[in-house]
Amino acid sequence: MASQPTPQEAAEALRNIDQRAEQARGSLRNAPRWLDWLAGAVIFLYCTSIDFFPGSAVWRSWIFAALAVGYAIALRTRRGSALLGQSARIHRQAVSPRFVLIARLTLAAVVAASVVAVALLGSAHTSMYVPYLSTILGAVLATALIGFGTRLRAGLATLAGSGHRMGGLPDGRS
Amino acid sequence: MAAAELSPLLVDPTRLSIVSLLAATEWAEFGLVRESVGMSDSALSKQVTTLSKPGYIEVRKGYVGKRPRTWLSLSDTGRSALQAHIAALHQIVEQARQTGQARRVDTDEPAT
Repeated sequence: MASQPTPQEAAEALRNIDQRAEQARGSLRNAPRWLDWLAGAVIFLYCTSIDFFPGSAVWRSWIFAALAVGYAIALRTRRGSALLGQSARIHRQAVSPRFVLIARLTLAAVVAASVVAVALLGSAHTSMYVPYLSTILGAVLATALIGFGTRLRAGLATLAGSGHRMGGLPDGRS
Repeated sequence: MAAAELSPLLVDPTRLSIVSLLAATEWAEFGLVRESVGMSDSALSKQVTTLSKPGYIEVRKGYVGKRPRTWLSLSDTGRSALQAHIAALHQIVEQARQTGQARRVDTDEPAT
């Protein structure tokens, strides 16, 4: 390439920039499988302990919160990420603002739905009692995480970059 | 929008690839960059040295357990240079589009 690129070379360079950003986001897919198994086991044990150790609510919540916070902090550091099998941390500029909005709305909807569900189940506890409900829920969540963890991450990586181009060629053509 | 200015270092497609990849990350391991760009260790090291001199790339070395690791990240200088470079590339493409459109209009006009 000469010092002043031709229009074709410039368009190719812009496409290259978008492809590399996509490649970086794709590194999210590379989390090791053992992490899915570990997360599944933690969630299953947490849910199971609700049924089998009902008096342990306080320390159970503290342990779960500590694990969640520890995981989040580890992902923000180079060494922690490396230990968890992540070789890069995605920059916020590479994430589509639409994805951030959808993620926040989904989180808010999940929290709201949980509050409503707890209120409804609390008021109708005697008539809607299901034995070992937490254990069943834990088993379903753990199986989903272990079975679909890779696909879930791939989907999130695709969504994170959808419609977002760092190079900025809107149609990918020159 | 950054001022449009081509960076002579980023005109090279290999260096542009490395910087673009790092622009999408806060940091990336040397191994990930090497695999993504498809280079050998020594070739990537050479390019990293070239990009480190003007302060585009920052290199950190450390250990995870007993294994040595190298992390690369794009500095603010590098990020600004890439933004300016992208803006300049857009200008080149846009100018070519406009010139092409003007030529088409000239050709379509009936001769008097």
